[in-house]
Amino acid sequence: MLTRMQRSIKQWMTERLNLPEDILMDVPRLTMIGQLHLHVENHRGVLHFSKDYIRLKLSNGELLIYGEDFVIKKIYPEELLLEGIISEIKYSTEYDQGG
Amino acid sequence: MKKRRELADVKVRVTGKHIENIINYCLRDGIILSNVTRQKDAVEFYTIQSNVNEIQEAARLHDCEWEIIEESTYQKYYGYLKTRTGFFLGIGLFMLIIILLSQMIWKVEIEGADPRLEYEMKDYLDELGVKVGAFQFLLPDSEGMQTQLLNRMDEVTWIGVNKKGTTYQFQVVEQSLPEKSESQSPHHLVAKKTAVINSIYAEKGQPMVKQNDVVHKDDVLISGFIGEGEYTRTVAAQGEVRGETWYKVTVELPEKLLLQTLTGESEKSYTIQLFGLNIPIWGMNAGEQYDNVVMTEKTHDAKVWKWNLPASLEVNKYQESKTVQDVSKKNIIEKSKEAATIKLKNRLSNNAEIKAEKILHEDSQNGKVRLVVHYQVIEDIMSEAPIIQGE
Repeated sequence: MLTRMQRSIKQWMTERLNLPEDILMDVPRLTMIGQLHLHVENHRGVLHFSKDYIRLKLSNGELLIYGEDFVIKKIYPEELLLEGIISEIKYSTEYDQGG
Repeated sequence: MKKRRELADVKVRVTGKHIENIINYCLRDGIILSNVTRQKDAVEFYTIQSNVNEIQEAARLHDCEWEIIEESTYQKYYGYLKTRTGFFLGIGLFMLIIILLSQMIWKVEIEGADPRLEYEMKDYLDELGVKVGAFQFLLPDSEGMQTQLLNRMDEVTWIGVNKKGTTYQFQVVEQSLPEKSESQSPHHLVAKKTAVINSIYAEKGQPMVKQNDVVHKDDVLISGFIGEGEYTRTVAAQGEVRGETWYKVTVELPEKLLLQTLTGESEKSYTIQLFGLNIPIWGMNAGEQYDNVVMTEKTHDAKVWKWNLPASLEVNKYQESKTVQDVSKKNIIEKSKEAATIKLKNRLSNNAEIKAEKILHEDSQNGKVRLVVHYQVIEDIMSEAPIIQGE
């Protein structure tokens, strides 16, 4: 109940006050350079990691990345830099929401 | 992207079923991983050396095996350093010595001071700590030293202190005090003794005699009165008057002179001195071979740079000598004349010169030669006589 209210307040603020969503809302921010690099901010952990498939935990749901020759260049508690050939990024969420 | 490795990074491989758990564990603990790659059931990554313990802990918790594949660059070099400790210690020591030695004083130069002042200054400098072998950083700076030296040394107008590498240069400018004139009160210059004037030069005052005049004791040579009549003033007469004077010198010498001569025969003995002990090694009875000997001793010290070792070689040379009597008459007269000249020179001042000498009388009695020599000497004949005011 409370979380739902919080979420709606935040959504209202981003819409009305023109604040960037990635700061207010707990959603990931992905930066991609071609197919080579993917910079994920605001992740919540690694659920699966192999050479051609990575599943990241988000605050809401999961992020699925497919590709080849994945190497995690750097991993910080809330940040991750992925290198490889990325072919597909996909959200799988409990709620129907995304960044 | 190039693999960039930090110096302290180690490469770790963790093998197990749930590798992700370990990564998440690291994330929670704030451990930064980089270059994470996945093999079949293993994961390899780089992390900072100090995190290894936590990874070990994580591996233990999640039933994984772990190993370090590559040591950190730092550790590799540390091992390298360890195996060559001596070498690196030597380099360090060498540097240290070089630096220390370059901070020492190797030379102290004093310029512009006469030997007495130089010695005095060296003493002061010693007290200040400026000497060969002292460290420069323990000394006051050049300017401080300069003022200290100037305060302590009265006879010096200026001291320049210059540091050139390991050499300290001191430039000294001595105070040149004006010569004190002995008496500024008006006086005449009078003759010391009977003489014939050889030359006269009056610097101040009025010359009263001419060249070739005969003067007696207390005759005025240069008068302290100048001017005429009303304008007469008195001054301290100055000048140079040289006159010819005469001396008679009598010397007596024995007729037969004993002379010691060497025959040319010699022997040498060698002795080594070690810690004050004398160890003869050769020619022990060299001294007993002749009746009359002249011994010359020579000691060769064993030296290392400037320190004496407690060992030295002593060489004694024994030379046979004999006494001969010299009876030639000519020789004796010459000797006597020499003796007379020396006797005279002892009585004369430095700037006197002997013009001529003549043997007046010469006889030998009771084995003694008696010689009377007459000398003509040109010397300074001035002496000062004060003018008593109110005369």
